[in-house]
Amino acid sequence: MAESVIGVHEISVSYGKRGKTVKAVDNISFTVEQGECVGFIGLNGAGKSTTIKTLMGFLFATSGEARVFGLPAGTPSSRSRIGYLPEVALYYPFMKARELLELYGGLSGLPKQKLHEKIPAVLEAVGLGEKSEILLKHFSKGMQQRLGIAQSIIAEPDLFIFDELTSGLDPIGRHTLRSLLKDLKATGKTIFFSSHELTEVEALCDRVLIIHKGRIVRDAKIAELSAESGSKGLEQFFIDLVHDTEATHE
Amino acid sequence: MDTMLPRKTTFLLIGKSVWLELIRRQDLYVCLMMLLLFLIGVFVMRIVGIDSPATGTFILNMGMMLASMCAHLLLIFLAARQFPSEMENRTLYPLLARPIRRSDLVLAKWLAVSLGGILVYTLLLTVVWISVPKLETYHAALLFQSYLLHVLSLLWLSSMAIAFSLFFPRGLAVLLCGIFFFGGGSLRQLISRDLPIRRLLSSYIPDFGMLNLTTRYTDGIDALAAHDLLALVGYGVVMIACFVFAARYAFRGKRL
Repeated sequence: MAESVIGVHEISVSYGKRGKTVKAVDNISFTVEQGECVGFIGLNGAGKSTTIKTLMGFLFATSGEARVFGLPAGTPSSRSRIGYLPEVALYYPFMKARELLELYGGLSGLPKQKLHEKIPAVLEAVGLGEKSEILLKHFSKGMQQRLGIAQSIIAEPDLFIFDELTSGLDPIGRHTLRSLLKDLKATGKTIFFSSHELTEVEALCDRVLIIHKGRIVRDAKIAELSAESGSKGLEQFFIDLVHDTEATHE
Repeated sequence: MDTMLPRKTTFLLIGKSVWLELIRRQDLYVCLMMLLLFLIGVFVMRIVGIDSPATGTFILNMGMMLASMCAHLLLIFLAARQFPSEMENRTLYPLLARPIRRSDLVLAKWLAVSLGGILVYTLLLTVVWISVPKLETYHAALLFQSYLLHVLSLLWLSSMAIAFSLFFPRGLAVLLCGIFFFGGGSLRQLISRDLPIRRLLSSYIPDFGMLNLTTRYTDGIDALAAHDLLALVGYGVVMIACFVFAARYAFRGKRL
């Protein structure tokens, strides 16, 4: 059997020192398979970003193991096949959009010639085709987010990890992004993203992971959740699930 | 694309980004304005007439000190903001999402920032040296030694600023670098009084003044003997190695 693209096995991540530790992620396990589009949803502070940062090697698991493409998560080799979008980044104000993509594309191993061919197309795809020579200090939050998406797709990685995918995007930006993700999905790429936009998750994902207070409380296919939630919709289903979990804990 | 990125590529690309930062932010232009003011002063002095060789030497000393101070100050600010800015703006995430090692990023940033400082110092020193009339005899070999030790001093200060910025908040890192750069020598003297233990402790305090031969050069003193120069180079290299190691160590296990 082929190895999962993402394999998380009983990882916990804690913050703090000297006895005042907070468990942001508590013994979670899940997998993401090749070609899947998986949504990762939860309330603020539920542990979404912590999990994603652990997969990228920005944070270290206190126990358990996370692997990406069969390699320990966070190693340079595992990152070479990932396109990552952080939760709201303000890119270098002294750079132009083209220069930023040259930097990130180059660091992903793309040769100069290929970059020169790709950058205009990628900027066009995220709706920044006309802005390649403008300094980023003049970019709005939404434009920065589009640029963030551009830097994540420039090297055509096999796996996309997006933290708060639609953050800061206007309706047109969201529409563009949705089309882009559908195209990526159609080419067999694996996508794993966190979002608060449940309609986005419903429209794009094959499967949903729901995290609450650091624990995975549901891992199900969208079709299963739709059938289970009935006419309530995913949003109401999510709210009910969170309330039920709270009640169980109390 | 599942292999590691060659180090050279990482260093060149990070170097380019630091270079863009250097030339597109205001700090460099403040240095250039200081140089312009100095040049105007020299121009006026040359028209009015420099009354004695000692005055000429004083102006040369002032110009060379200005070049040194501007380059070092620029470097402190540039180096100390590299990682804190990346963390505040979250640009470190897309950067480290690439197949590069954390330790390589620290090295690349340090080298790029240092090179920027060295280029600025070389430019300022050259303009100062050309513009001021030499009315007394100075030793060319000492000028070369002074330049070499300044390069070491710049490499050392940038490694210190990067290391401090990874252990402390940015403001404190800048302050500490400023204290050691401007007052390291005085601090050493103050601490080394009386007790042998204090003398021993004081030897660990960074003293950038030891690598500054500007006044020795303008005073017309002979070049350093080879063993003295080697000792100073060794001191600089050991300090650089300590701070680069500390920076790499601090960043390797940092939670982002």
